[in-house]
Amino acid sequence: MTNADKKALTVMLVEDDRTQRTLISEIVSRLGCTVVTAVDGKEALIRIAQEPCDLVLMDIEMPGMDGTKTARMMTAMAGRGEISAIPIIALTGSSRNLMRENCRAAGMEEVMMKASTPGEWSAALYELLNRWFPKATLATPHERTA
Amino acid sequence: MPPLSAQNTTHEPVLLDHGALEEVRGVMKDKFPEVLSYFLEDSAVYVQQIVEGFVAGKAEAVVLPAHTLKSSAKQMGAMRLWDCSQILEATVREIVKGTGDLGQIAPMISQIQTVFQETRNAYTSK
Repeated sequence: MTNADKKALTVMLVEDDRTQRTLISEIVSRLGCTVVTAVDGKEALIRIAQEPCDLVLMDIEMPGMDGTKTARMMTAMAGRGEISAIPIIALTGSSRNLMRENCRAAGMEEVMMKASTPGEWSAALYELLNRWFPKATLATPHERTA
Repeated sequence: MPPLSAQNTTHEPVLLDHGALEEVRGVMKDKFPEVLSYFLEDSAVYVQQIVEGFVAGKAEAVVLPAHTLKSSAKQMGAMRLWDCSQILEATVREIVKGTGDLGQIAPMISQIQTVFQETRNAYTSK
């Protein structure tokens, strides 16, 4: 594969909390991805229709429209052909099994724990992106800390 | 097992896990003061929402701010605040399900206010 075959990923981060939104955005940016943010489910649904993304990172417990409902609506939009089908990763601070089952039932592909450290989180996301998007341009661990 | 820096002899989490904090500082670099100010400002709002939910007798109104506070506190190395938040969240979730009553969280409400003040002081005194 040549560099010309590679592309940078665009990731939508849906997170209501400013602290976590800022921190997670920085971690994802350092992986070499372009980050689009939305502060709640409603904004995410509007933006996803306007800005094509490769992946969605979805906070689950948000006020108003929660992440599970937002994911269901995105899946329905993709089913109607309004947007491309996009893998969604649930971000949660809860380890409850029921939460995981609900996320998968809503069409989310993976569940990541938010309570991990930035380093653990970055490594887990890198491994996942590398597996799902082998043609993507991702920063190496050294580049991420530079 | 939590890192040694996050433990003390009474098994109560330390106020700040300096190792975790340094990791966040390393990721955020010159944006660290910005994210710290977001954390302190928004945590004050979450604590206020927790108090208001308790005063109004609405257990469900306490769940989300306690949950969000738990996640952001852990990421920012505020380990005692994280501990208080997770206990509060777990307790009010049980109350919402019909197990227990809101009166039992009164000491937790008081404690989370105190721990938040201590946490804020610890960050701003560094």
